[in-house]
Amino acid sequence: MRIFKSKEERGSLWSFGSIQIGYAAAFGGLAFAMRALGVGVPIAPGMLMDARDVVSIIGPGFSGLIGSIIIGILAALPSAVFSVQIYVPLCLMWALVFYFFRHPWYHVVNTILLLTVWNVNWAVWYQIFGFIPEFWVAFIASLTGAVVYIPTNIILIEVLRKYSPTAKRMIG
Amino acid sequence: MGLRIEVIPGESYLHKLDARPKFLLFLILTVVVIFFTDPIYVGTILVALLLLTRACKISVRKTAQIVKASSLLLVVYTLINLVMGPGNVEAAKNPSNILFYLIPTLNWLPVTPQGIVYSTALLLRFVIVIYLLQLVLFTTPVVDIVLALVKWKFPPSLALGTSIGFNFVPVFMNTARSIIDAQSCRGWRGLSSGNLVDKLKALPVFLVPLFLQGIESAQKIAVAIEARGFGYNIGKRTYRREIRLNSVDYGTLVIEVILLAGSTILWYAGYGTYMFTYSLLARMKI
Repeated sequence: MRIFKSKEERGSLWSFGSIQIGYAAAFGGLAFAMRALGVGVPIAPGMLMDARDVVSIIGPGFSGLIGSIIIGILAALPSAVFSVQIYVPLCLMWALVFYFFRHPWYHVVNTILLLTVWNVNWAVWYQIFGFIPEFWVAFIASLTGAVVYIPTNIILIEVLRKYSPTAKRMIG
Repeated sequence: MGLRIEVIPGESYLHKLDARPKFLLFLILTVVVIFFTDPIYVGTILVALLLLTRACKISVRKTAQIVKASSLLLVVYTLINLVMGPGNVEAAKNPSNILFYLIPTLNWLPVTPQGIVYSTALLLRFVIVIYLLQLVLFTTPVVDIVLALVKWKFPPSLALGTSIGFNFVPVFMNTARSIIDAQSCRGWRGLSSGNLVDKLKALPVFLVPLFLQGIESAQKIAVAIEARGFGYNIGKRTYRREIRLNSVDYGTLVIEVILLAGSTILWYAGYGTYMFTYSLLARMKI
């Protein structure tokens, strides 16, 4: 089973036509709306695992590398804390994962990244903002989020691939 | 509850300020408050912001709603910093500094005056960042944000996508509410009930129709912008309204540079740490 997509399957990394704009705008708007509505899974008092994070992980798979910047900006804006600098690099990372990896390998890569890079990124920013001064405490706090996102993403992608031919064509 | 993306109309200095210096002001003040860990320094910035809000004829209470909505997070954040902040950890090594323990029966989690001063500064820092972002959004229309992105040499297609995304927010909010209502009618208990596994099972019930709706909307957006000639030389696209920096904007930019430089010098010289307020309190024997 091949891990990487072929050149034909990948297309251009920089393509940003009307279809990519459409997906970026739709998923960016969706992420924004979810945060504005406060949709999420309550894990502990004061801790809400944001449903917009799921959109910011899967959305870049549809919209490509440049479109993921739009999703990152729109997902970050309604936060209480300025977090564009956190979301945009993460969205770019997810876009690259869906660009290079075939199904179901992107699940494996996504899981590894959610357990490592994603947590490190949040832990570092928690420290910069001074929310949680200890790196490992911040890392474990964000790990609880990853535990929710990993199965949610896998289920969601599989269901979308099953019921939407467009989704299967776009994310592979 | 998140930030409110709405504009409160007005003719004040902040309303008239171009979106670019306004966002730079936000970024610079965010950096400046990260420099300082002293409640007096950070508190002064907060007072200045409150005065600015009053000068803009915007309700402080309305702007501060975001702070109120984040109060639970603020409490958790303050408690973490109270116990684990470097000021507290260092001071707690000397038992004479310990005021009380958060868990007194076990003598766990000591709290020192340095820890209280430090965590107060960090609490104020957090309040400033969220308050300021809300204030900027109250005085800046979305279209200005998009125009500012274009002026900052963002690709026009990127700005177009962002503005379409903004416009679709109310549509998706309504869709999300409709899906919640429809699934509730089918016996869905929402995301808040049950244990973690129940919550995990409940999430796709809500997200799958929302994503399918998102995919459908994306295709409609793509057809709509193609039909309006999107593909034809987007780089030469013009806008109904142009934004230009005027003398007030340039003056604000100069003040921002001075503010950043001054704060950097103070920080580099070792000013603005929590020890300033702590030593003042110690001298006053409080």
